[in-house]
Amino acid sequence: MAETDLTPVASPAGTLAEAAGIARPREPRRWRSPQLVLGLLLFLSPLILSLLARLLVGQEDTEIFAFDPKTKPSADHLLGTDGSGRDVLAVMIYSTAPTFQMAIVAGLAGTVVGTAAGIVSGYFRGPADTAVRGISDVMLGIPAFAMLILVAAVMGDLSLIGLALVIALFSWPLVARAVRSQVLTLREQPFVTISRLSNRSAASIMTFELLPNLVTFVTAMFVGAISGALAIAIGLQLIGLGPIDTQTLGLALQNALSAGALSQGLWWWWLPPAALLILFFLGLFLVSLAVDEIANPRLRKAGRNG
Amino acid sequence: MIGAAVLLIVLVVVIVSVAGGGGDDDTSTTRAASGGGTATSSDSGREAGRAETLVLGQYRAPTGKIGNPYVQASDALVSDGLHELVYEALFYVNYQTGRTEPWLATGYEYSDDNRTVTLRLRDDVRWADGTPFSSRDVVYTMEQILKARAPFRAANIQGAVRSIRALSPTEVQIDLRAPNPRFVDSELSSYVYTANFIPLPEHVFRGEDFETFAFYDLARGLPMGTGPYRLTEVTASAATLQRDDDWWAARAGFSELPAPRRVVYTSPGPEDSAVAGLESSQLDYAGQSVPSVAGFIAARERNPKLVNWDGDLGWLDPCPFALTINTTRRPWDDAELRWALNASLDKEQFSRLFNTPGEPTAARTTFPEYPQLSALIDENEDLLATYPTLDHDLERAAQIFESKGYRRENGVWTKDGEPLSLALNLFSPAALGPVWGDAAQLLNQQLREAGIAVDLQPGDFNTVAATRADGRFDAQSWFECGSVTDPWATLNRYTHAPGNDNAGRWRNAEYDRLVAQMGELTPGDPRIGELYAQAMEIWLRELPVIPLNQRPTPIVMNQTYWENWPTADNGYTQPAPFGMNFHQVITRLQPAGDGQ
Amino acid sequence: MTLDYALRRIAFFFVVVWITVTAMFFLVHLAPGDPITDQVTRMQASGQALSAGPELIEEYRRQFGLDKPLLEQYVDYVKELAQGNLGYSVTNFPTRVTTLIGDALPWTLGLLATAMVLSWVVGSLLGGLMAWRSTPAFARGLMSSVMLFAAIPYYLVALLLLYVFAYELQILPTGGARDPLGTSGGPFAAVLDTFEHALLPGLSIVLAFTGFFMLGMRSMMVSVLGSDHLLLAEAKGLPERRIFLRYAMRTAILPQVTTLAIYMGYVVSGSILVEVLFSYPGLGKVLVSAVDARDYPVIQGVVLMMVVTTAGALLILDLLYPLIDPRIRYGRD
Repeated sequence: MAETDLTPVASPAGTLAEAAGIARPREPRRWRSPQLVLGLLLFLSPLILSLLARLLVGQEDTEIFAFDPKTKPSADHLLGTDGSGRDVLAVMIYSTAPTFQMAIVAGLAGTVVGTAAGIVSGYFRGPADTAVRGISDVMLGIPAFAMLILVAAVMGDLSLIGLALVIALFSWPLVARAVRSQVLTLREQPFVTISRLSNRSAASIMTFELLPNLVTFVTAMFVGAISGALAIAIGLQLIGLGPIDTQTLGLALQNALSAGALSQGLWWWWLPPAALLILFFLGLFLVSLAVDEIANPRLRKAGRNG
Repeated sequence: MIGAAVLLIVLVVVIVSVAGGGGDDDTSTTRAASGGGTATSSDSGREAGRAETLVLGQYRAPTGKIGNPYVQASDALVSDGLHELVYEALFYVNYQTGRTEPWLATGYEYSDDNRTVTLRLRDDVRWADGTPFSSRDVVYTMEQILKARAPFRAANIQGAVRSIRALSPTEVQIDLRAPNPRFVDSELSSYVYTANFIPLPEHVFRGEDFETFAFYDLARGLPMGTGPYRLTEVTASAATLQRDDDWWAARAGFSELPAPRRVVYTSPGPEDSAVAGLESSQLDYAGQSVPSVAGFIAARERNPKLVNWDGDLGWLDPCPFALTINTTRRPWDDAELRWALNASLDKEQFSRLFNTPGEPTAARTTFPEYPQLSALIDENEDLLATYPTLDHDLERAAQIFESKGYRRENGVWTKDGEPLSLALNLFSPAALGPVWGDAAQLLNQQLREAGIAVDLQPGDFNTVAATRADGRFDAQSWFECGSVTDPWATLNRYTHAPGNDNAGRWRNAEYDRLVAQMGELTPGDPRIGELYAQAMEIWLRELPVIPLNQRPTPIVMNQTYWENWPTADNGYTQPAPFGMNFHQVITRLQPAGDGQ
Repeated sequence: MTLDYALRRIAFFFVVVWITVTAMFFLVHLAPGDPITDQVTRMQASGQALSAGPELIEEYRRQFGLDKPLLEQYVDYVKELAQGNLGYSVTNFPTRVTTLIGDALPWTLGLLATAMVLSWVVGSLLGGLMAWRSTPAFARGLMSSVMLFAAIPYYLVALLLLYVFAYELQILPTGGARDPLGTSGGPFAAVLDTFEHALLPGLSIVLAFTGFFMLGMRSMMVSVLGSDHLLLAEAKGLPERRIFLRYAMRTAILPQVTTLAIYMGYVVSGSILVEVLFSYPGLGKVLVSAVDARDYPVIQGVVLMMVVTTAGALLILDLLYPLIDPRIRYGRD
């Protein structure tokens, strides 16, 4: 719930916690929803295409003054060239993967740490729970974007992965809190109680009984965390912060905007990275909607009929 | 339960409407009571229309609330127009003619030993409230500076002056601690924007603590100067100044009353909105940080009334871009390697980057090429033939690296298994504008091609400044301010004179001696040329700093409402938005002929 | 029990504020550079040699207490803070931090809070209608497209709006909060001018958050629609409109109120990007320029404002919630 401060992007994962209720153990799930397919397509195809296109387009096309600056889209340069003579398409091809990498690392780190903390906290209760809850509640009260601005400003040579980890630092508490509340209900379920009574180790119960039942839920959190991290990173880059030594879509967008692409009518400079980012966000959104419906089948029904 | 929810909503709505209402009538607005605190009311009630208003896009949003130029909140003054239009200088230094033009003063004389300066002041100057300006104000201000624990923009004056006394209401004598023939030019004039002497009204300051008095109360007519405008309103988006029709210089027939009745200083916003503002003639002027040359050209296509300093070419900033090399860190302590580094750089490309698509402006030296300095460099062109700072020559660089025992492995010069690396500390785009993002990439690109492993460390201004002070860099982007007419100040940057910004830690006793010798000569002394050649010979041989770009800065002036802007063809003074010289511009502006 | 919970909750609020303030303090002070060096270097960099530079820095550091050991500075800072003293801005000395914040806050609140409430009202209504089975399919399709805006960060939406309305059509200003030349024509023109400037930034937030509130409302509605009391109402044959408003919306709106309350807390800290993009003179702009100049007291003051509003909204919510919803006991998990 405290996500906005971190990310202006809404993710249905937040509502999932309230609406999903108890995940029924080992229920067959309907993973083949059209939303999921379309979402993954939107999200993954640019990445795959960009990796393939690297075979055709060399990185030297992203160098400054590789070509004449500001040429309109043409057969030579499908998306034209930017103010410093880079081929816009080439820049997009070489920025997509690092942008992805950053978002995934941030999402993964936040989700893994958050899930681990949430499971431990919800399963053991006691001091571990108090600690995790205390820390995450404090973290959620902190205005994260303001803190990130500061961190990014004072650490000018922060790497892309460094930035991802700093973002994850502020996103794990949300995951931890949500996972914890799920675990609290799960641990009272008969199948967990039986495992406990049969003297299985806590680690084994957490790994083999709790975790599989959290997969859908955690996936939803993961998707939300990816789009949140992406939104924050691009936001920081728009202010002129964040790493400048790796090509990313955020950097390309910032270059275009700060160099006046809007007022000079150079739409082919700013629109492609912006549009690609919008595609990513829409893809992630559809994926999370789909995962949401899988976890909460009633939503699916309501969305369909009528 | 619903009742409580509704209550909460109502509560929120009320808070919001209160807050929203607060947004509408900006609380930071302070309107000066008309004529309040001033003896003469200039604007007889009528609001000046657009055609009578000059709208200046300054590089920073007005912050206001400080009028005292000697507390350390310096830049606020620059963006509110106080510095240029409310205060006046004793002398204005004209970068174009190289002359020091008297304004509040009529002239000065040095004693033979250059230790005593006698200033003569005008007898017809009045403060905005009608009180006559006299030597009392100059002496008061100077004495307070001398007594102050840390007078922000006048620390040099504090260091240079032993004592001051009034000889008469129009005569002041200043005793210096050491011979200094440049004291009047550099400390008492509008030499550069941060350090200069601004006389303050003794009758207003009397009884106040000089070092903490904000000198800011619009209702009382503060800040108060002798200039042709008074600050009347400061909001979050603009600072407004109204013309004082009783300005002393107009009454004395010394100057025409400036044409704009109202001047508005506002932020041009980022690049895009600056371009839009100029295109639509919402702005009459913008420069220094935005727009870029490309932005200017785009705006001019739709608004042909826009001009830049010299065609597409911007006005040269007094501080050219350069790379400072830390000459104490291996292997760059070796002058030959610094030359190899210089030869590895294609400065034409930087010129293109900073100045798309104008004329090449790669920097030959670290002097800003104003007429006097440019002539001096030209006179000594043989030096540059021996030391070709502009040559991009990878072969020569390779020869030097090889002669030092480097072998190229996997594209990188390597010696004893160690790759040749350069820790390059650069301005980040957040620090000094977007072009630095590209500059970083370009430097990386060029040096990699030349076989140097670059460790890129971008930072915001503060980080770069801190790194600079500690010397934690091999090379660092910086701007080399110093001379504008006489070569001494720039040369002096690289000596070990106390307080110098010699971040490269370069040391050469012979060079120091030559520059010190030049420092004792009056600007214009014929011996300066000879000393320049000798000092530059050493400097160029050693190359402690690599000149990069002359830094042409687009200053976009709009002729829709106002004409007679300073341009290269009509270069009556520098067009800079900073520094006190804009005073010299505004008194010469004319309403546009075709009566917009 | 009740009082005990309230007190614990309030204590927790102060812990959050204290930890944030402390983290911020050490983060800014340990970062390279300080406001004095920054200013003097800027002066030195753009001026001539400053022979008294080091002394000047020393003196100013002394005046602002920056020469003391960091721990002592921290204790001083907390002491002053406890008395409600945020100190002076270093870059705008002698302007008080409270003055800077006070000038900027109305803009931030006016823009963000209005936009947030507006999107809440619209979003809740549309979200409810979307889940409602007799909403026509085409209307539902239309609404889903609005919902998609929730997926896109508002600054990307803002970018598109800026391009279309400010640069291509040129019917709205590109930034700022008011016409710098002022307006003639009385208070109405001034209000209109302010509104014009707030329209694009406001709209981008409204679009993003309408979708967000729609999502929440929709999923709540879905749960409500299957509930017994609604089935009962239908069985009674009550008019459709009445069931929608009195039975379905009424039940589903409560969690929405919670969400709104939480989001109101983020209004202050969430404003940064929108203000930077639209050069809007609010708190976010103050923060960004203070970070640039390392103006410690201003950074600390603004972040304090932000944490007090975010954590404060959560606090108020937790204290009020049991009053709104009796099903919630104090000390809930």
